[in-house]
Amino acid sequence: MKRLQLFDFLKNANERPNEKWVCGRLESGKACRVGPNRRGKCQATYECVPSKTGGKWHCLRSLSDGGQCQEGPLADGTCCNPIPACKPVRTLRAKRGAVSKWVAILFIGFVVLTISYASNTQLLMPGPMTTAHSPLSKCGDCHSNITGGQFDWLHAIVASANPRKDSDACLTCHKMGPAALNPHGLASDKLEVLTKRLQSFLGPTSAPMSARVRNVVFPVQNMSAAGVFCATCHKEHQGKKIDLKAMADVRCQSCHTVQFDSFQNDHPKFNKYPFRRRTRVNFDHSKHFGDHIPKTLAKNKVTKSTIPGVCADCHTIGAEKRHMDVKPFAEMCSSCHLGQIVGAERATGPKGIAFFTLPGLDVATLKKRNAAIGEWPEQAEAELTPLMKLLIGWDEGRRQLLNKLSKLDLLDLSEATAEEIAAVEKFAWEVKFLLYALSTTKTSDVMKRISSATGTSVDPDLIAKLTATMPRDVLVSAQREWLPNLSAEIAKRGYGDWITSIVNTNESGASISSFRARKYAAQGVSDLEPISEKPTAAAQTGRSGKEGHNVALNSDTGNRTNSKKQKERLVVAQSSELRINKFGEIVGGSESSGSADDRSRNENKKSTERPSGPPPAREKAKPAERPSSDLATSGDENAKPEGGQTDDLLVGDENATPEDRPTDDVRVGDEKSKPAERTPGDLATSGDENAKSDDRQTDDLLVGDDIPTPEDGPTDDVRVGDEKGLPADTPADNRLTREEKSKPKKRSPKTLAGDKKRRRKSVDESAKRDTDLKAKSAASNRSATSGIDAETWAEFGGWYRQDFSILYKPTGHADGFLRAWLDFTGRLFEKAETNLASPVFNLLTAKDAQGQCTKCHSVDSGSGGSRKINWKPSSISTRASRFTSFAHEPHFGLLGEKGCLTCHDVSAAAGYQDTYKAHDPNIFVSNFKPVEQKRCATCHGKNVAREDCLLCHKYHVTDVKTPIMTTKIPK
Amino acid sequence: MRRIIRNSAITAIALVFLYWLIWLYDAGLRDPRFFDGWILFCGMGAQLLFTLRKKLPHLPLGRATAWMQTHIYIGYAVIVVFGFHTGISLPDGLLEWVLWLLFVIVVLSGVIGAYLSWSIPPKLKQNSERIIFEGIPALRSELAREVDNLATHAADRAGSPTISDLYVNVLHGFFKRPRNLFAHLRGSGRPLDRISGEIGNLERYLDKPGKETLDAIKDLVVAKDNLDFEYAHQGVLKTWLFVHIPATYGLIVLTVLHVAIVYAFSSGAP
Repeated sequence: MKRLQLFDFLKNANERPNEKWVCGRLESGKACRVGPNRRGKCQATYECVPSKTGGKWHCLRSLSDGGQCQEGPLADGTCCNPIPACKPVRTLRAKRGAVSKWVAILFIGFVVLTISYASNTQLLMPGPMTTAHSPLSKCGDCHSNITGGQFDWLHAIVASANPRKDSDACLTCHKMGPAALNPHGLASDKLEVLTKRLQSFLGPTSAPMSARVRNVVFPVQNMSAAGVFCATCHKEHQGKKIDLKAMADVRCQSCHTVQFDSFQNDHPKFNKYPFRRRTRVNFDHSKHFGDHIPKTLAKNKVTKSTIPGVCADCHTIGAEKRHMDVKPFAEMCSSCHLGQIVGAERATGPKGIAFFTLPGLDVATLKKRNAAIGEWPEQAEAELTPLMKLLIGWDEGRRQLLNKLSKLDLLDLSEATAEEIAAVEKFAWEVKFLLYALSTTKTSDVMKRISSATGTSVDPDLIAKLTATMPRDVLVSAQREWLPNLSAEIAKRGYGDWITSIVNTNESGASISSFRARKYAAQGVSDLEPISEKPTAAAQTGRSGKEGHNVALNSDTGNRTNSKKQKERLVVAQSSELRINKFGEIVGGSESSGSADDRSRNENKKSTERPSGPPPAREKAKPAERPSSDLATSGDENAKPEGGQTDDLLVGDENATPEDRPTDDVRVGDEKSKPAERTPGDLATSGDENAKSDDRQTDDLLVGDDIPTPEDGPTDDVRVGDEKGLPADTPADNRLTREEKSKPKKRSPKTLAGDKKRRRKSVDESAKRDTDLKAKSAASNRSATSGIDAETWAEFGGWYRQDFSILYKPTGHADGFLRAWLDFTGRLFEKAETNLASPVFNLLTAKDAQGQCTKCHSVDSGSGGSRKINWKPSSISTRASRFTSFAHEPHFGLLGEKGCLTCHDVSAAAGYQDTYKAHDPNIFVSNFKPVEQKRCATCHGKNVAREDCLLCHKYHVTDVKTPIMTTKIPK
Repeated sequence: MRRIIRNSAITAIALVFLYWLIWLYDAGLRDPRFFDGWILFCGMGAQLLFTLRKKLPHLPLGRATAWMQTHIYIGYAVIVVFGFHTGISLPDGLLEWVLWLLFVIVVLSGVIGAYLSWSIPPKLKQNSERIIFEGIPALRSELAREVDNLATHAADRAGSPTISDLYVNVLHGFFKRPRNLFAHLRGSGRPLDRISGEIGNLERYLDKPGKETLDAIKDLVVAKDNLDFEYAHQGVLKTWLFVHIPATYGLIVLTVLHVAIVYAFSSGAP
């Protein structure tokens, strides 16, 4: 075969394959030896370059080109064989290089053009975002270093990225609390606690080799310390349907050194799952299953349908389809337990909680020791309750005062020192101030003072609940009966810092009394002018008496005017105010500008419209039968025969003349109709001076009927109210109510001794009045119409007055009053500056406490010794911060006959109830055996059901919230 | 084969190690796409070293064959790392798509080139003669001239048109340009057999000098067929690079852009 490729120098052309250009005649086999230059230009001229030797030109053509030519060089030394110029061609390599360059240029141009003309750099996006984030059209919405310019991203390449800012952009919509970027969104201290807890039951663990290598090569600690940014796990720009929350198990094991490959085989055993604390509601399943329910059914106390028979009678799946909720009290508990709350099953003690109490004092001793406590009902025997202490002790001085009193028996002060007597005197005034403040100023003002003293904030809602929206009339009527001359006493003594503090705390200056004080001061009327210690001459007369009593009863004016002009001003001032009459109708104001006759007619008309009830006692009233002294003491001093205020809430009908009074005014009518039939003792003890002791209700909840007559004593005696108000022979123990006598009170031995001593002193005086007062006391606790006592009257809860206490009876489950006081005092529990709250809390959580809230609702200790009542059972919200989230619903269809008991085996362990005696929720005995890991692993493994970490665990244990939009109202 | 097994094993071990590193990186709460992205980038950069080596033939940088093998096996590894990086999923964005397509083109052309580089040289070796690709056109021209001379001389000498007709009808076109390239790539000898048959059929019509001329032409036909074989195979070995290298340049441009964009919008992810 013919050999083609010759590697002989003389027979082989110079092909230069590595050069960019080759001779254009290479393909024809006639390529010149010179070849083109680097720029592709033909540089061939002649076949040789002759040389001159000895004056003659010689041909130097190479042998490969044929050797010396016969013609030889021309005379001028030029070769005679010129090479025609060619068009050099690129070599294959050069062609490839050129193509590559052009392709590169093409792509660069493509990139530049697309970036330049692409709007808002959307073209740079590696992929579309998830549907939820797709409205975020600007890169700068999430990428903090992109501020909006088209080429910002070029700057961002060199600028250091701020991942925290980028994550903050995420957190503007996904609120996760202050520690959002901490691992699990938890504060470091909490993480530490959780880690220790895990380690406590997992024991020491050694990290696998890979974890140790990773900690060396790619340490995690530094990263978690700087913050786990959102983009660490949530990868955007991967498509619209991508699951942003998907996370590989390996990510969990970045920090968790207990590493394993499968839940089924290697997952650590559960630690008492799912119980991490005692149940919030103290419900002993074992006791109920084995004892309570069978017994109740046996007794047939309730219908069978109200007794739970299956778990689903009490438990139901929550809205989120994961957690089992507990049905409400009304559905599953009330049939057996409601009576315990409202006191229906209460055998002893009051069914209501004493909110305000007029404590019993040794009035005789105080009188003897010249203690200026003003009037004080001698028959008051109530103890100083924790609630009263809390209401009074709103500053350090008062707390010290109460502390002093705690060592005294207030009902026997015979051995008290002068300092102690002074303390008691001061205390008596504090009680009066409190009652006065409660009845004349806004309740919120009084409560705010407590809140400011305790350093807590009390919002209006809480105040409403703390006072259970107590009607003012309850206080006013109590004040009228207990301390009828309170206004006058306060006016004379001064308000102390009670009212001042209230006024000061009331920024709007809305305090009625202070407002009026300023108003009258502007009119030249001294609102705070003290009244004389002894009855004035004017007080002896009807007119002056009226005037004086107006001061006493109309606490709003709180003033005693001396001149007719001033009196008229007061009348005008009063007539301009809206008032609520005893039937709850708003009167006064513009209406009051009408004549008294008109108002009288109106009221008469209203009275005739009353549907039922006994005939009003006032119908029997006759003006002639009313002594002038009656007017003087019953607040009628402003009333004139031709008109006057007849419907003042406080003064009420007392101001009306007989002609003006509505005929159905039970109280005033009685006052005037039978003055002669009333005994002084009656008047003094119950204030029902005009009522017959045998047929009159003396403690009407809404209407005070306790206007003392002049015979009962002057209204302005500020020393000892009973001195003149009561006949000297009125025995103190005659004032005992039926309740007090029928139900032995829990009194300290010292107190009892004091009682006996005091009783001995008055035993000789008591014979006559005893009978009267027994009847009076009995009457005082009966309704005006039904004859039932006040506590029975408040069958379904609410406010009522009994003896010298204003009580509140729970209205049922979730009573706002009890809950508010428990929460309020629980918050302040054991705080040094508010140590008066703890006794109140203890009172309300005692075993025999009214309402028995804490029989079921457990009490947890909180920070700083506070107490927290668990009002709600476990719910999805209480489990929000848990790492494990079990979905109940998907398992319902998988359970066999055992149903719930498949996983929740009832435990026979005793001591469930005992753990509730303490306040640490973490120390508990469960009614159920813990769920074991192997129970779950029967299904959750590699071949049956999922077993990845996020199936049961969640990373973000804090709630992730999306704030609502702040849309401005369109203009 | 031993070399293939050895290189494949080394590549597999390296890939397993890389995968473990990437896994560790991911487990370290980092974005593994950054890590495997840089591994990919480095792999691609290593591939470019082979081109550099070719441009520096005079430096003692080892044998070109070793470089070639390294280039090929790193190329295989880069394909796997690309799978790590993309999660073996199609891209979503426009730039990502272009980048992905370029990578796929480079990889496919590279794999094909590797196959050709593995399969063709033995075939060329089987050929009796080593021919420089760039010299083929000149050799082809020389053969064409020789055939032309023989045909002209035969016509002048014998006055018979037999050989000149053969030349005009068959040989002129055959020698003018490369012929039967696909047949050569397929390994088919049919075109040569056909021409040889036609030449053989003419022997009966020629005298002894004519037969000698015909034998000389037959040798030239075989030489031309051999030249076409070389041209076809060497041409394929050089042509696939027209896809592989330009696409690589485009890939380099977009890769740099990709890295820049990724870091500009990285949100600080490590």
